[in-house]
Amino acid sequence: MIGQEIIEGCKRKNRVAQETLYNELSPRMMAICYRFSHNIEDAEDMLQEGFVKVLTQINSFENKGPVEAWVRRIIVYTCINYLKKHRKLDDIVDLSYASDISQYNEHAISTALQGKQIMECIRILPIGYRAVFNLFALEGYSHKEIANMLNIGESTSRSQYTRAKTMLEGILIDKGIVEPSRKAKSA
Amino acid sequence: MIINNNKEFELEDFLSEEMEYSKMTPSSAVWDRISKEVQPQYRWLLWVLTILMLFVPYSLVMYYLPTNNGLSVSSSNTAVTPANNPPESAINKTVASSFNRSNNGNDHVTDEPLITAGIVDENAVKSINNLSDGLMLADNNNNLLNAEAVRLNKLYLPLPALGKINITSLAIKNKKQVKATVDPIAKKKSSKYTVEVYATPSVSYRSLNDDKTRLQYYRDIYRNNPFTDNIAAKNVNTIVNQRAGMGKEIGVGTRIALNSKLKLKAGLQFNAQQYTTEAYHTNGTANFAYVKNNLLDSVSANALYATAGTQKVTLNNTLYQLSMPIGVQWDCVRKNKFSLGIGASLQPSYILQDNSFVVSTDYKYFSKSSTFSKNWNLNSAVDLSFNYSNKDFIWYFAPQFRYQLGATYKDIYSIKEHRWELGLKVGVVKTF
Repeated sequence: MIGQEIIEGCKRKNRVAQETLYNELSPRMMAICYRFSHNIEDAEDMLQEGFVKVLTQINSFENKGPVEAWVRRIIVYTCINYLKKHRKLDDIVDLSYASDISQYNEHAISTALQGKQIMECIRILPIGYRAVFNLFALEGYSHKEIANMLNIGESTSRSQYTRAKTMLEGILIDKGIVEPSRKAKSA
Repeated sequence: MIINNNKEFELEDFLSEEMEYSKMTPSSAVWDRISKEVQPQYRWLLWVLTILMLFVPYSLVMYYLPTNNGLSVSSSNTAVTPANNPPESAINKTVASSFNRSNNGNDHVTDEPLITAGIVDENAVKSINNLSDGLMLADNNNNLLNAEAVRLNKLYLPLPALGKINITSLAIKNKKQVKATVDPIAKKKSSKYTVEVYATPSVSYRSLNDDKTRLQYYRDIYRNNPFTDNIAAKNVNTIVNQRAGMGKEIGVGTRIALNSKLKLKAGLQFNAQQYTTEAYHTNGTANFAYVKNNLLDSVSANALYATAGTQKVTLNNTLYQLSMPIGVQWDCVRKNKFSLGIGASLQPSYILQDNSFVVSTDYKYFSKSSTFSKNWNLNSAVDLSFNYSNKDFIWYFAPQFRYQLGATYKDIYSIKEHRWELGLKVGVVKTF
């Protein structure tokens, strides 16, 4: 929980407060960056860029809602801009991830492990699909907002999402997380 | 958990729920880079400090330097005997009339002194204003007096110098004649301006002391508080296994001679300290409890290393500082070209980077948190130097002990760490 004292400290550019905010939020934000990115290095670059924005623009935070939601929005926008800047939205499926996760699909798994598995499954999606899927299904943006963020048409966003979802369902079934009988394995 | 992926919202809900609490630990380098970007003012501050640190000793030297530039005291100069050394009453006479230029250019002085109580008389200045380019002011031993400085009325001779120069025989001489006989080495010896460069390989040590009295006190007040319940009763030195590491110092400086044996010294020094800690891989949260403004508080940090476990790892702890040593050097014994000196200095130090791991309040985890790091500290150093003089250079080596006077971390951190180093300083001093 980020207290008001920490936020005020960050506004005064207090190093301790900045580091506390980072320590508190970086694990969750890193997971978001990782979902959008191609690899760990890209995710760390996104996280760095995002937190630099957070810490330099924190004076614009007006305490309307939790700071985590505000940080999360900045991180998501940073991820999208990073992908645009590095022209990674057109990347194709990276099959190497498929083999990485195959070891998990045999038995019933814990929730924590299942979370990691699902994250890896999402990351198998082509980066363009993945961006749309992440924004719509996990970050709660509307197709209109996604269209604006990615400079695509709203209908394109919808169709990309539908394809991404179909592809992800296939991957989840393939990896044994969701059964073909349309029932997931118990966690 | 059963999900039916035929319904879109259920799949999304399932994924959202799974992803909501997913966490990943970024590498510690990410925060280091962020910290550098969001605190850029330290960079220019560092440059300003560096320039100031170089400028201050240089200014001090330049302040002293011009007053002695014109005077040469030859080592072969036979100092005047007490009979020749004019008593103070004698040198109080006005000497304007003592300079009489003859028609053939062979200027001379009478027995009247040129200098009055160490200050060149204003009338004498007027008299030598007309010195032509080919002439210089010197005594019979060709000790020069800077005529230009005299003209500008800036020359000040310290009283001890009066005993070394035969002021009763000062004369205006031919420049070529004087230059041919003047001792060039003696001229250089008159300078007090030196530049010193040195390096010190060293071994870095540290000591840890528990100071949890305040936390213990608050544990009694805040019972069942997770941050105070886990205060370890053990001695930190039995938990943290550490080994000394190699460090180094590199510095430049200058020395200002107060007299033939005592010198003031100042400079700029880069320090790197290093030690290793034994730890074990883990993935947890390190909590640091502290008391500030009479309130119990805590900070948490991701911890990838623990004090106990199965998968051993050696943590490298480094600390980089920029110091400004200010001190004295006393050459206590001198024989021919060899001398023995004792040096001492205080060193205000700015912490450039602290890559040390700190142990959590319960002594379970290590975390690379800079929350408790200080930006400034004060070090001290003493050394015993063995010097060899060769022309304009003094070469030396000096066993050195350097001690950090302030604790490494802020007072609110319950463990007090002090560092010290044993090193061998090797350097050279160039006299200009």
